[in-house]
Amino acid sequence: MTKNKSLAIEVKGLQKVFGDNKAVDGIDLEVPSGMIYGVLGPNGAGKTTTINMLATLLGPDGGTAKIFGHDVVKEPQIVRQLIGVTGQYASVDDKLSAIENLVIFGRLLGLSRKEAKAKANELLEEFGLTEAAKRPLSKFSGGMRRRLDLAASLIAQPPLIFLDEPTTGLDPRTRNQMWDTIRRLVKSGSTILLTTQYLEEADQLADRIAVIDKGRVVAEGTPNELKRSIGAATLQLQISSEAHIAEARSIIEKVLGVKTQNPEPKLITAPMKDPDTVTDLLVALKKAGIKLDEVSVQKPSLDEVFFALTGKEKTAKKGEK
Amino acid sequence: MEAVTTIVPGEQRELKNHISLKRTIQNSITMAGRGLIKMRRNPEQLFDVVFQPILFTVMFTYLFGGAIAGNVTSYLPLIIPGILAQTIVTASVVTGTQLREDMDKGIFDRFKSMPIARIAPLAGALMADVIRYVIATTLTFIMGLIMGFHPGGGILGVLGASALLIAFAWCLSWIFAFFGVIARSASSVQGISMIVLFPLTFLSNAFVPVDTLPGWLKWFATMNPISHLITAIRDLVNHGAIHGDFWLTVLGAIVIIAIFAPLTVRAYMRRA
Repeated sequence: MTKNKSLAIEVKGLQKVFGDNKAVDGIDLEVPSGMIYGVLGPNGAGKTTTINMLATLLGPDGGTAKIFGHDVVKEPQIVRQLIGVTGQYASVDDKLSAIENLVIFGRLLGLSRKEAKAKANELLEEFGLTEAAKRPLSKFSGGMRRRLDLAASLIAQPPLIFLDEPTTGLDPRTRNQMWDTIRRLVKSGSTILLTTQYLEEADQLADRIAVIDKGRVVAEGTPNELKRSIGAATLQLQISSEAHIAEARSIIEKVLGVKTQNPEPKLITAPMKDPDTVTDLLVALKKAGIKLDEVSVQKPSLDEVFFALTGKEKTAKKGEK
Repeated sequence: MEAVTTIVPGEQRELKNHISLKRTIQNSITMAGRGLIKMRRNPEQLFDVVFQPILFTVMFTYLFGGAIAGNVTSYLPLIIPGILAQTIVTASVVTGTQLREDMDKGIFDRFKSMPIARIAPLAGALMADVIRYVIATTLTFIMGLIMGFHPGGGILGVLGASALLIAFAWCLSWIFAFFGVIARSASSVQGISMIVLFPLTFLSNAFVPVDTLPGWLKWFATMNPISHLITAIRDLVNHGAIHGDFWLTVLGAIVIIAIFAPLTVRAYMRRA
């Protein structure tokens, strides 16, 4: 029991079936308190269904899930006092203003009218929405809505926050703001479970990642562990003159200690295990008088991650939901 | 943006897996408040309860008054309670379907994930709609008074009838809320409900004395629960009296809510 309590989330063999589609097919998860845990997977992998079950919105068809040691099926009202949920679609009221939304949620959580107002103002300030507080939400941008949605999840200061694809559809600037907010939350002591389709997002934010596909966990670990299992980034060098290709390849292979490939006449690619050695390589090439047109690094894409982990092309999963 | 105040860890919180009756009522009132703000922002939601009483009272009274009661004034004590019942029943259908439209939005997912009484989002929304029934009832009485109606039951009779109508409509709205929750779309509920309610309200004693009807129809119109409601209202408005029909109506309302409130909450919880 004491062991379980230090875990924010403990999931064993969780299942959910819709008709003949096993949306969640035996997921196991252990999320320690105080970290950002990323759940990475394509559309239809079962991410949202899993969150809905953990947030007591959906009853599981098999397995167990515990939030801080409390079973989501047997003690749903306790679990609801421990979580905040921010869904893919902003779950705030369009017809109401930002402040009205937050005050209503505060009142529902048992705050007095005065406390609810104070809390609402505090959160609006924190999320940079004070100026828009009285405007109806229909005039809000997508980013503002997401921020308000997240603010609404934080009224009760829940120790566990579910963020279901918090940045899908946001522009890069707003996405970076959202990332900062998420990092700040975890500093204050919250545990965050975050789902995303973007490898980069999981990489930037998460302390640990579970990759899920077709309702199953296909890999789990820190971002670095996962990347190593998937394969390193690829270094791409465009050489000015074809005459130098052979010499360049031998220098690269010697300095980086890897095998190179020559997919196009002037292009050399090599797996990049240690970015530090690239400096040595560039110096060595310069000494040998080999001119470069372009240097770039190709990171493994989500497609490649899935190809590596599931052995199937992403396109093969079309039509699933 | 400063760091947020430190969060109390999950294992150090005092938690209960039960929501008290007091919290349930508080939650429902908060949700009703939400409904009222929405109505203020969206006054077109009230069109039906504003225009139907005005239109129907004028239309049916002048259309049938002479033929059925000899003149308009002596038809009013018969028709006003009929129109009241008809208006309030259709208003409760709209309530149920509007609730469904509301539920299709993401905000209901948030309500479900919050530690609040499960019934509150539904009960609160239906409570806010009491204002719709108040508007419909008041306007129908005002139209009647303008056209020369003198309620024999006095102000108490009118208030009593209004209270009965509003309470009945609130209980009735749970039926449509239930169908709203289980149906595939809000508009389909409204369509089907209207098909059921049209005969229920017209094949009653709302507009004509039942003695003039052929035997089978007379039987139906007498059995029709809407007829009991109308008779109870006529007793109150015209004579300030409470008879068996009143108690039958109250009993009917209690039975409806006892069956449909739990069913609706259960169906609502099952929807993902």
